[in-house]
Amino acid sequence: MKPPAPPDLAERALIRRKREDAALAVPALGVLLLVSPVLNIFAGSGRILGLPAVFVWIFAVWGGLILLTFRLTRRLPPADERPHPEPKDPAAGGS
Amino acid sequence: MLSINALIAVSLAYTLVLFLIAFWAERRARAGRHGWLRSPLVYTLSLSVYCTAWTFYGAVGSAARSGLEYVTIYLGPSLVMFGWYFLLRKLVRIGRVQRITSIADLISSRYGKSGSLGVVVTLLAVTGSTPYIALQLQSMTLSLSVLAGTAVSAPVMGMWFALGLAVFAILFGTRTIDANEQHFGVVSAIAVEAVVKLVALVCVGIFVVWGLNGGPSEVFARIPPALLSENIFTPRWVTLTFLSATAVICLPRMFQVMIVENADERHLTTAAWAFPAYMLLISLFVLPIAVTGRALLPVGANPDLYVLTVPLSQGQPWLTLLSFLGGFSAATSMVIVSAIALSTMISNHIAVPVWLSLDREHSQASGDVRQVVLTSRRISIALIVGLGYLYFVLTGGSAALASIGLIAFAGAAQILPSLIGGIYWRGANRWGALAGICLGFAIWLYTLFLPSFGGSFLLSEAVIRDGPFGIDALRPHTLFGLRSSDPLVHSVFWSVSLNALAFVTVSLLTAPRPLERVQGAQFVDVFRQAGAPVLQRSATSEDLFTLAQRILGTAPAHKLFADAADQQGTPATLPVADDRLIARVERELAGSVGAASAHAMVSQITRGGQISVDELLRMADETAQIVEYSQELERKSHELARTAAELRSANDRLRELSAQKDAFLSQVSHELRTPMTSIRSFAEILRDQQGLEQADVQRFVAIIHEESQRLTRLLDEILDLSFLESGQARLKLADLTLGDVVQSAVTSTEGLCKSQGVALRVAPAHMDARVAADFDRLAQVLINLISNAVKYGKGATPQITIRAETDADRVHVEVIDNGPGIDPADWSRVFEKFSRLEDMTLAGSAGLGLPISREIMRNLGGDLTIMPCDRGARFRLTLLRAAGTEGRRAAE
Repeated sequence: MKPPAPPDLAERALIRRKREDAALAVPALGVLLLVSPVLNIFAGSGRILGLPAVFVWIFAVWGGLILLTFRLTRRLPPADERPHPEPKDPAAGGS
Repeated sequence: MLSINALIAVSLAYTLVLFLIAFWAERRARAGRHGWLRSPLVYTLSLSVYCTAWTFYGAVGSAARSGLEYVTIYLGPSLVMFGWYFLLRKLVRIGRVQRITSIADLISSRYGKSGSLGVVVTLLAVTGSTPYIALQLQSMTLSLSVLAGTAVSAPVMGMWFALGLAVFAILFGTRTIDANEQHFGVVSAIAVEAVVKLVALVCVGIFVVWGLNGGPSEVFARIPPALLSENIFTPRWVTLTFLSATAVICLPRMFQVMIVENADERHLTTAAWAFPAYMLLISLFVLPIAVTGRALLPVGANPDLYVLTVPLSQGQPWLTLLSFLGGFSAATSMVIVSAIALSTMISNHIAVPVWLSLDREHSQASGDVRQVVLTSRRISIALIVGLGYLYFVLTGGSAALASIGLIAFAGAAQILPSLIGGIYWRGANRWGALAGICLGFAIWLYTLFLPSFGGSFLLSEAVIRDGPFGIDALRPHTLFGLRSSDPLVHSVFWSVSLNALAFVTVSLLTAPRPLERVQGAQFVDVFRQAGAPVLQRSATSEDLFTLAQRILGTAPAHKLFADAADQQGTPATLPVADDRLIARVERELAGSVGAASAHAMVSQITRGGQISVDELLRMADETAQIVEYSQELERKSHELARTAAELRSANDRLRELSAQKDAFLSQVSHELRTPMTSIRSFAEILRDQQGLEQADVQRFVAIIHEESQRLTRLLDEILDLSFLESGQARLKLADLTLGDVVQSAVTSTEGLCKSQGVALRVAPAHMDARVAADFDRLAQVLINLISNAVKYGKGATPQITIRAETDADRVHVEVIDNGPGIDPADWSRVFEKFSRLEDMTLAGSAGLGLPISREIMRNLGGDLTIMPCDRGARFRLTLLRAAGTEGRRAAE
């Protein structure tokens, strides 16, 4: 999944930083779209394809955020600085 | 209708299958064949313990009562999962590095391994969970009685359920004390139950949407308008989302599966999107089921049981059975995991500390503490499930499932400020956390938990209605006069905001203990810490070994110490009990009995344990390095700023010079044009006009000659100036007598003076001074000054005076006229090339006389300046006295 040998360290750090920022932006976007007065735009008896508009809105945004997170997690390794220490290793954090 | 016996048989069979799965998974894990047991899929499915019977049955009830509001219960956790990279990843890392066993352990460990905080959080968790567990028992008995259609004795059924769950939890939750507090058997069983839950709800949903209706649009055509309110975004919507987002971290069982049971940090990357997807699927069909239930079933039917009663009323026994198993799974997994998580807290934060303080001189047999821990956990599980059962029997079941779940959520939310503050804010301390949690806990009890009993427990109905002693401001549902239509919003607002306020304020006002600072740094900087600071302590290896043996058991203790000895390079003997080994043993113990108990135990057998001055210095050193580094940065930036300023001023000078040069060039071309124009026009006359008088021709040629001479002179002057300015002019420095040069200049200008009627007078004083100069150049300067004075210094009786003065090493010559003089404001300008004062060229035609003169004087090591004067202009030449004059005289 990694891009083929990025040119240098600075560039890689930049890409990584951007992905981290994106990882923060997804929940913020979720709050903006799902826990804000934006919801009231779709509230009431409006319909989309015969379904209540607000129902469609909530589930569509929700699904979109899941896809977005899915794409981001493919590109953002959880363990960054150090190789992942085995949980069995009692000296984890020692030296 | 399904017979009660068949239902019980199915439940038992299902439970047996779960037992087998758990048993098999434990065996596999013990054999080291983890395989899919530690896969991200199982991890994600285990998170679904979030979806309890309350969500399985209660969400449909909530949807039938208030429309889409139920979605918030899943949206909150989804948002938290989307932000996995910031919060969950850090929590999981901290959990692994610090060997965290429960949420109470996390809080206690962060705030200096505080015992009291552990107790408070444990009490809070038990209080909040008891009604929640009762809720699960209630939903199971309720579903059973609805399906069987006969009045089942609720207390009896509930007791059987409680017993079965307690046995399961004890069997698989307290089989061993795992080093990492991980229960593969339980987690596998929960994962299977998660699949059953999802499949059951989705099947019922599909049956409702496409079996009973002609598709989604037909379902929603039946939706009562009351369920689609115009204002869906309300304070309640925000509060519910916040509470559910909090619950997914702070509920003891969620913390257990998400942080403690996490086998690999990388599993989070899957759970981050897969768990929200699971919740989306679970909630997708809730509203259709609710709408259809309302339309199909009689008005009196309990909406909380639509998931069962809708398929049942349509003659679908198998689907009903599947749905029943789904609800059964949801309830059992919640009770089992909650019981395990709470029992860990109780044993680690209450039982073990009590036991430790009771028998200090107890016989130190191998594994005896282990036995205490395990026994206390088993008793705790029985106690917790028993409490839930008691609550269920005493209250007789509450009407709406959802409200009980939300009360539990609001209780768990009281941990949030201390948790978030603890992992992002170094300044957070134990007193702040204690104050915040206790205050939030108290407000939650008073405004939400106790009033939920409706006046039958502690708070009387009158107090709930009018406030204690009739004090209006203290009424539980309108605290401090804050009126809110919703008691939940009201309670959450007051408890969480005052909790956070107290936490921050007290943290700011009090100082943390050294151990808190160490732990705080390790929690906040968990991704940056290379190694944990090691406390300076001393103990004997034998004591340490005995302690490890008592808690970990003989074999693991042997393995630990053999490993440590290997690392120290002395494989055959007991390892030396250095600070590192002590810290390692403490960490291992913390994985079993919690940080606070482990710290207390190790402290009992070690001396020291206080953070030494060296230790503090080392920690301070880290800070000092940062400070130094930032100072260095600051210094460098100052340097840069200075250089930039210098460059800027140099740039300004260059630009000024360039402008001067441009001005000079345009002036030069202008000065060159004038003679050129006259030369050209006279040449044209000579060429074009035939038969000119000889005299005219002569005159014209003379003009041309004169003008070209002027041109040549001008070019010479420019050349001369540029040579002088660049310092390339070669001056023949010689030892001269000033009077000779002056005399020469006077002689040269005698004709000019006479023709203009100017009296030129030379003062004889000091004229014998010897100077170092170039004779011709000095004469040139003097002639220039004299002719300037003649031209411009026209007084009534024009007069020019030349006089000399001497001082130690210089000779000054002044040329003074009695003309109108030069305005001091113009003094610097007369030395600029081609400068004109009042449109008159000062020196010669090109105005280069004075600049050249000044350059000559400067090249001679002297200067040419204008001096203040009463009337007229006064130019002063400064010359160097001839060097070595005295010496040469002496030599002669």
